[in-house]
Amino acid sequence: MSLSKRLALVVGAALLVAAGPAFAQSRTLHLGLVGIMTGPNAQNGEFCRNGAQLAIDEINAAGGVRLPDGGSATLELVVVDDQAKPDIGLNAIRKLASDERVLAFLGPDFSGITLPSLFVGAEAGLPQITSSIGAKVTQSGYTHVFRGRSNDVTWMKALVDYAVGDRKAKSVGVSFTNIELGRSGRDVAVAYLKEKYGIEPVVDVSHGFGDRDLTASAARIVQAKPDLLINWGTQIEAALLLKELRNLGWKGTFAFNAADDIFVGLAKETAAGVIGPQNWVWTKDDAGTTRFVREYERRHGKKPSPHSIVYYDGVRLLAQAIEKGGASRKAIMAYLHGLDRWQGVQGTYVPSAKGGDISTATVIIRYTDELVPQVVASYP
Amino acid sequence: MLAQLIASGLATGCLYGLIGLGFVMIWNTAAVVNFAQGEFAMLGMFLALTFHMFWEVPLWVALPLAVAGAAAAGWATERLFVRPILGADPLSVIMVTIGLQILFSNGAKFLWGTQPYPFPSYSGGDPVRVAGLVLQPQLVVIVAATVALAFLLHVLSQRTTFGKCLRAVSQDREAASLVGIDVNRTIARGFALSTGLAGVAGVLMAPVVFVAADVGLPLLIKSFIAAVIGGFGSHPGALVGGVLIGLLDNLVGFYVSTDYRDAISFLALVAILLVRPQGLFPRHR
Repeated sequence: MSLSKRLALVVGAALLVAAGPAFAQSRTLHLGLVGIMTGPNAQNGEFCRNGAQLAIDEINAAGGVRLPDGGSATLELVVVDDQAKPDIGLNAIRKLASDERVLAFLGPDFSGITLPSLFVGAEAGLPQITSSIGAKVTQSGYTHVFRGRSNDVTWMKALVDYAVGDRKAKSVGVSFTNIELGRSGRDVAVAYLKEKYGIEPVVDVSHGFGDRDLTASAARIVQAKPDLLINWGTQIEAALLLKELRNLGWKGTFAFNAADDIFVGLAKETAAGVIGPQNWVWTKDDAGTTRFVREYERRHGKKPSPHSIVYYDGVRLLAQAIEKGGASRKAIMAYLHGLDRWQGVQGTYVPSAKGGDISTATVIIRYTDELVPQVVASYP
Repeated sequence: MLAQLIASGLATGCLYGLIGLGFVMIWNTAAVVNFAQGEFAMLGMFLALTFHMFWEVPLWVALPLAVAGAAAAGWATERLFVRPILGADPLSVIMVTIGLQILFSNGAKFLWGTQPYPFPSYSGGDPVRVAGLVLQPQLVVIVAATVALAFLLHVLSQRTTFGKCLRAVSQDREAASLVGIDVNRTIARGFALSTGLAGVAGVLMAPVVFVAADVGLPLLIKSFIAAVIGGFGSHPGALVGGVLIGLLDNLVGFYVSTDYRDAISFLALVAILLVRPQGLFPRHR
């Protein structure tokens, strides 16, 4: 080999070595997100995407994820729209599953979309972190799905522990919207009250979904005079019931499973003093929440929703799985199944939890007179 | 508590009655059972919301505009969807109006979203307490407006040319045509009047029940029962039927069970039809 050829080889090899990190640095890994991006519930998808994108931008700004092979990569979010429709959602998830670049995905939020599409992620071996709270999501035997949000059974128990255990409510009433969500919530409440505190509800009353005159239900509750009313169901009916109860002079504590902005917007001043469970709320008093809320608000000009944090933490958890496990679907899945504890902003996650319920983080909020949700109890 | 339940049931029943009255008017003039009737109440609510809350039109302008909008939508519906099928197989006509109900409900979700909106009370916010009875001012307004509307409709029906045309068309379309009445125009105006009534019900209930795209169907079911109990075709029957349903809902919900009050309402419908298949007021048209 001539000198000039040897020189060319050496220079070429040197260039390759020098360019190696640059090649690795420019590598991009993709995480999917399926959510409601268009239609009447698009705000929901916006909160989810904003949370995920914030985490991705922060990770990339800090140099990306460091891979087990010594290289690093930036993350990119691939967003697909489920339009809050099961058939569209199924196709959206199929699209993610067939895209080999996508290593894992977040979402959907609606249980009605998550449940019938679980098989797609399972067949593709694609890790999925969902915010759907339907109990069946983690009871279907699939091992690729992780629920990053506490479910309504956890919420009910936390609520009862706070209101009856801590606040010493003596007489408890139960009311519910007569749909699956309300009935199952009612059953959990009645069973848990009896089992843990030996309390039978002084009134147990339902109202129909779509009922607009709740005088009969309110009158029965007022007659029973409970200190605490646990109402499980939907926002419109809850706001109407609360207004009617206050009109009739009831002064007890109203506890509601969906005491969110929609509910407060309808109930207005009657929402003051209402308590309720959430997975997380922007007023939670810890450093991680404060920093997250500040950054979210700076970017979007509004407070994040309890969904946003699930997607923010979800991206960060997946980023760690890539760093420690490897940049493949199989490696991420294996890492998550072996991880016993991970600290996110929402709380402590247990990714190895059997069934996939990886978060039980719950806060009990109480609305102040200014209708700000104040955390009165927190469960990790 | 009984008086409380009656007062509230009366007001809710008036709303069912108003929508039921619209059912009956369309049936009488066009022989069409309009299963989209509840959606015109929903439309009235959303138009009032849009004019007043979104476009900041003063309330007392926004409310009549909303009612006029519901009436105009009814007129357009008659021209576009109902007139082409007048005289067709009754089952086809029913299918079209069911389709319209779904179309309007989903259209509202598309335009205004699925999120419910509060509507400000325009009759004073704080309830009035009279002899232990807690009365929301809006409920008093609903009852008073229903009584006033019933009176005005009676005058319109008996004393005006339009009312006489409506009655003539409802009795015999061919004969009405032979004496020079423009049957199609009368039907279109009758349709507009009936959907305008639903619009009135919508703006009356907006401050009490919130504005939402899914409010139409439950209203439709209760109002339909009201119209049938009253004797489908009877104006006072629809109003009385509505009040009966409203009262029954509250009394059954309190004294029997809230779980089964809808089932019991339907049972009452079946029982009344078994005893009086012609309804309560079959001759009053």
